[in-house]
Amino acid sequence: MCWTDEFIRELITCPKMVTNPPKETTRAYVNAGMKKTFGLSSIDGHHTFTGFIMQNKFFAENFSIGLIYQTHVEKGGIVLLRCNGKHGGTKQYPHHADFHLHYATAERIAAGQKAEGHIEICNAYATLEGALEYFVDLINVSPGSKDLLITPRKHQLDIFDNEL
Amino acid sequence: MNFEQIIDAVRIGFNNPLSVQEKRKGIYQLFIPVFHEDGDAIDLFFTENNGKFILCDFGLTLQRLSYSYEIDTDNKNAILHKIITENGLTEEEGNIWLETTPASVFNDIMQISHAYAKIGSMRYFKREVIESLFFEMLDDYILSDLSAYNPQKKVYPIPSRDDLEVDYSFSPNGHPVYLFAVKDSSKARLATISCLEFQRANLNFRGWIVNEDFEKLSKKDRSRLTNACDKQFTSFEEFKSTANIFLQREKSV
Repeated sequence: MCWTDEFIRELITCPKMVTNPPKETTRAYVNAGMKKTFGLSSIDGHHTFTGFIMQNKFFAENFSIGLIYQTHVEKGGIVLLRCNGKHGGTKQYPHHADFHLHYATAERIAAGQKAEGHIEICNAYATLEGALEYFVDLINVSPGSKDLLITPRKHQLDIFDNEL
Repeated sequence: MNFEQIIDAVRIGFNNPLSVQEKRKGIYQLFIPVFHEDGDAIDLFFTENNGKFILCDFGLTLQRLSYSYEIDTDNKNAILHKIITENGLTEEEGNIWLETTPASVFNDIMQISHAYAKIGSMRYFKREVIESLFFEMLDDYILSDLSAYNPQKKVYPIPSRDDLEVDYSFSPNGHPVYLFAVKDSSKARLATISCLEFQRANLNFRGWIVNEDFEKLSKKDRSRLTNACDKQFTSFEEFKSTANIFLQREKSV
């Protein structure tokens, strides 16, 4: 399979729908937190994905939401994207804990490294719920499927509703 | 407890290329230059338990492993706990920890971070070992324990259709039982198409499926496969337990 950064970006941003809604897993990890997995496919049916939502039970800010591409050609899946909470340092910022994103790169896949090693600080969210909304928009989940992943907002006036 | 003495001991041991920050009251996070393959630093904390200092991860090592690898069998759970025990660690509700003292803390940090890396490397077993074992184990079992039913490998029920290959054929009685070994959605779809084509050709057969893990298939693949075939085994373990019984029933028909 030929990987390029353009192809990775296309996989992340192509319109998607939820094929299997999130369900809580009952694996060993559940002892230390929550994990839900869900299934997605591209609207055109060409690509299949799985996703996960995890949150540590001791530290609410330690969470991760991930998108895994199922290649069907090579064994296993490739983690394309993770939206992480403030779990601790990274190679770029070894002494800081920041909300950050992990992206897969073609260079890392070609080198046989763990795909999602490109890290960017992200200020677009500060909670798991906020990260999930950001993730759903970033990976372009169709409006009809969004409610399967995120809890709809309660009916509440937006202060900027009438802004011209 | 006074954490300054143990934090000072760590700073001296590492000669200062590290940072310690209070995460919560009584919990301190160590930022040391030890990283996972994806560039995230390992998760390591000081806290206290019954008046003693402990190093721990608050479940974050297993959380990270769980991105792409599940501890979902007794065998995997046994391997995990073997790694934990053999490295002198303890696991409690997902938190993997080690008691430490100011005198031994530098060595203990080396030991525990090494162990966390070993646990993380369990994900390498996923593709290379676990997936290949399914077909090997199935083959061994069929040829040894189901030999009475005259198993044949790689059968083409419709000679003109070399795209419709059956993994195993059994002859318990006058009509064959075709078995497909399914481990992913592409094989599930091929098995579905094959069963439907054999029905369309009015072949007298039974279409059976043995799944590596039925739950791994998508809902639609499970639905299509279930509707097309005659019998499904949801796992290899289930197949080993009951295949002989079902083949005996076919024999008595």
